[in-house]
Amino acid sequence: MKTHCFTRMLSVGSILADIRIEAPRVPERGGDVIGSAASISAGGGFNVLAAASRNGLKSAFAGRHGVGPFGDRIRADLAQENIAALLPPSPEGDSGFCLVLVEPDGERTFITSPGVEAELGERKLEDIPLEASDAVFISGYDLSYAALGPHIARWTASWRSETFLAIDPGPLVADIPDAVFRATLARADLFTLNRREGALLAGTDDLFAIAAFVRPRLSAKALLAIRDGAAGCFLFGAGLTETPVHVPAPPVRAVDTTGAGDAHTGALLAGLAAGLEAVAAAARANAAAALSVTRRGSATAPTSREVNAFLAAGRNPEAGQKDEPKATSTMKAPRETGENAMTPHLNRRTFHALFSGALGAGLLTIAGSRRAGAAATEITVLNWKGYGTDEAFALKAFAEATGVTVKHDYFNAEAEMLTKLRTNPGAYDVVLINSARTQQVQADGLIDPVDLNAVPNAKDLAPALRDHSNIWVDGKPYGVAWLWGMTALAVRSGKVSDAQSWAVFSDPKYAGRLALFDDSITQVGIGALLTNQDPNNPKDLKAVTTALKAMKPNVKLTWSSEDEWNKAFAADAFDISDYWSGAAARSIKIHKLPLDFIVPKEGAIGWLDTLAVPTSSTKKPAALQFINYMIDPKFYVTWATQSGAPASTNAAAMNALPADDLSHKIYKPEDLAKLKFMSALPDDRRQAFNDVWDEVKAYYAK
Amino acid sequence: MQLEANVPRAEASSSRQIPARRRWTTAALLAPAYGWLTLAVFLPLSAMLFFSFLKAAPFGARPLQLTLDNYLAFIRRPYLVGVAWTSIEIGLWTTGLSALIGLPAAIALARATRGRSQQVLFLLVVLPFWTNGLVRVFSWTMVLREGGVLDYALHLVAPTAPPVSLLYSFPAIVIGLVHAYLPYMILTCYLSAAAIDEAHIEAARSLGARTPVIFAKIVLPLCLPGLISGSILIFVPVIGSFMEPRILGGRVGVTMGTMIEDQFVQAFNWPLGAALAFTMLGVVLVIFAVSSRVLPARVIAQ
Repeated sequence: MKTHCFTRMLSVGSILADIRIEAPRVPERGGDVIGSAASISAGGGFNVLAAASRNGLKSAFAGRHGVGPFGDRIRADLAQENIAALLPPSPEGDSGFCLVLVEPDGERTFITSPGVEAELGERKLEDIPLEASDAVFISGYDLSYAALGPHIARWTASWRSETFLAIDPGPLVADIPDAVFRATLARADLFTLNRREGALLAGTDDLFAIAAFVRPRLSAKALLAIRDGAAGCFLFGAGLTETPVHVPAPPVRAVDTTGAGDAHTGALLAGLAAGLEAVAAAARANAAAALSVTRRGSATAPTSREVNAFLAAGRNPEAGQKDEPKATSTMKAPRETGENAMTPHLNRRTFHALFSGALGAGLLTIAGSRRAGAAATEITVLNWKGYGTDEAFALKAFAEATGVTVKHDYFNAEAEMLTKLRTNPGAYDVVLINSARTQQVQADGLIDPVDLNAVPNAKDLAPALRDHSNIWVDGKPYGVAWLWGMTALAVRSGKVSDAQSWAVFSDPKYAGRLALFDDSITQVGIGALLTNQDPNNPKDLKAVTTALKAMKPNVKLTWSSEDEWNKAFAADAFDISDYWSGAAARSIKIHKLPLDFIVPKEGAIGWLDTLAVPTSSTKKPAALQFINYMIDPKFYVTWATQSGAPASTNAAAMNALPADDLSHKIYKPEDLAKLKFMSALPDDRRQAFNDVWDEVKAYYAK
Repeated sequence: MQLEANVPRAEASSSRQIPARRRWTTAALLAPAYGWLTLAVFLPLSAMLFFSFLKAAPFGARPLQLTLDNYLAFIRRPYLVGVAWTSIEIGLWTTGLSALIGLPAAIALARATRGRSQQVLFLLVVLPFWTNGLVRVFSWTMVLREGGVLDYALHLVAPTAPPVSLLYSFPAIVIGLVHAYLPYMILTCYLSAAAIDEAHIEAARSLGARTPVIFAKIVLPLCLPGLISGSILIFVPVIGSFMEPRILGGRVGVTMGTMIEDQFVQAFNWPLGAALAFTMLGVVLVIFAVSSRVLPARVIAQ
């Protein structure tokens, strides 16, 4: 049996200098912007080398580097990471550089100016002094270059069989010439890619489909790792059964995912080199990638010491695995002799322990998941009536896919949801919670933190919503961001055309034509917007009260449910109201009501609804399955196109909507800046808001 | 209690063994009802009474803090006085209208109908009891709104009249409540009216009294017990009602009932809600006390 025992990693991947500039925006043609921070550092192929080196694997750079300021910078950075440069500086010119413009929301824009690293020059790959104990890392960038790719393919064919070949195809995976792809994959010992890149290959992001596409092209002994963002990674390969092994990642708050893949690959190689089994090495790689996404920049891989500390702190679900002591032990020195342990494989005992452990914890989630169990499970969802979870098509599809049937109980006010949760422990498995209330519910011990790894679709959630500070307490998410929207102005088309401000609520033109949502937080929020205050914490409640009281001549009624709103609007009881964006879409689409939805100039009150799991639930795995289905683009697109829905937190789902969908009209990108998201309110402020609204309502009634 | 006290005294003269057995029988017959009342009324009510003296509802990890603050609500929140007055006004209007409509109906039912026709008329009276309250209220919204049944009917008669919309107004609340509570008034007044001895009225007539005098001097005073107990039966729940004011009242439908409901389901301030409810209970008890002085002893016994 062939064993891999490598003690050094070589990379031929191009290293450029990254000139990173943080700018408020990309300048328009002919324009200029002032950057806020700038740095120059080695980039490109440097990140994997640095990750491997920091994790205890001796690493060497076998590519070209030039003479000049950028070449100097690269050599200095390599030296600092203890990475040897095997070639002398190329005298023909300098290394290339890449201009990276980073906008405040993290979006990056690149301009690349190639240098000596892009040319073959006098370099012959065959001249690189390869040793039997070397691992060579090749990226998709190298393979996709027209001249370099075939060259590398020929080169790998000439190696001794002991040389370990690791390939990460990167985002250019589809651009690699087919012959090069086939030749190198057949030779590869480790093929690691992320799920999106896998989807580019297989045409679907289904793990089984990706594996079915890649594995026939790999040799039988090769290990395939599919990285899946926050969900960790899935391993396929020799010694592992047909079922992929899911290695979950520890939950962290991502701030910048740049370089996470490189950190993963570097740490995975370092772990394998240290003699860890594939699963244990992948667990470390997950931890390294998790740490890297908590840092800004590209070469953000942690050192093995940081990974150890992170794992020892018990934040890795794998750390508790009794059968995987290596995952928590400190790194061992690379072994000198080849042993079976070096081969990336899992023995049966470890596999079963992992499998059952993961299943028990509800962690093992495989895309295109099979039935959760033969026994019929019934879960109860507590939600507003007619708010997505009770769509008949969804319940049918979900029951067919999982065997889990879903029952419902409803509430008519958020506080009623609280009352029901508090007074009926054990009755509910999934509950809809407005993120503004999450911390209150969490403080009462009514909901559990959610393991996002058990919700595979969570990887596509917009980070700004998934990681919203409303939901997270002590580094754990107490709910999965599901839908967002806003409370803005709904007016009768044709009858009201001049409403651009909340001030229309007290415009004498519309006496007796206003309906208000009977909710203290919303109304105080509107009063605060009208008086230029923070809707979450208005300092001057007297001014808010006055502004709300001024609406009295206009107020016809207060409403408390969408159904009530639709009936009253259809009966022509009012022309203007504060209304929910999603409900507005449904009113237009289903009830054919003539309304315009407007975000006033003072701003609208944004909200983010989450699905959470009550602490008292006895069917948590099924609950998480249901939550996962609820954020699935397939469900969302059907719901949104058939009935109308608030905006999904899942970016993939929003993109999947038809171009002429009403949602594109209601959720206009330019309005996003005007949104004031509701946040958690302390009890005393909530009571103060309620007192204001009660007083105002009493005044209306006089 | 009254009953238990009476039984032995009544039986004491005949035998000494039967009373013991009767007492057990009486206790056995009473136990389920009073046990149920203890569980269903006394326990939750005393829990609510306890809550009303707390600073925050005792759920989750909150510490218990006793306070009297909640009972100062009417001083701290002066607008509540106005709300309470609105509730009492709604109660007075509803009770008054019910009496005005119910008393003549009851007298007519008791004195001028017989047999089958009386049965059918009674059935019609209690019909509101058989319909779901929410259905009843929502059907009123269809009648009262602009373009609704009432508006339509009016314009059939007078096409030039301005549009009529009673929905979301004080009268709408009273209309909905009168509909719901009128049967109480008719039933209590019927009992009184049916008990009037025909001989009294014949005697008055033979002495030359005309109908208005008979009504004022004989029928009305004799119907008074029914009128008063009907009024109490109506007034008490009406000042605590919240469904009709909320749905039919729109903007003006803010009553103690809706305020208390808000405290429970919106603000989750159970203590304040409980305190408001007990304050209203106090008002109700005062009304009982006053009415028991007004009523003759005979009426109370009845």
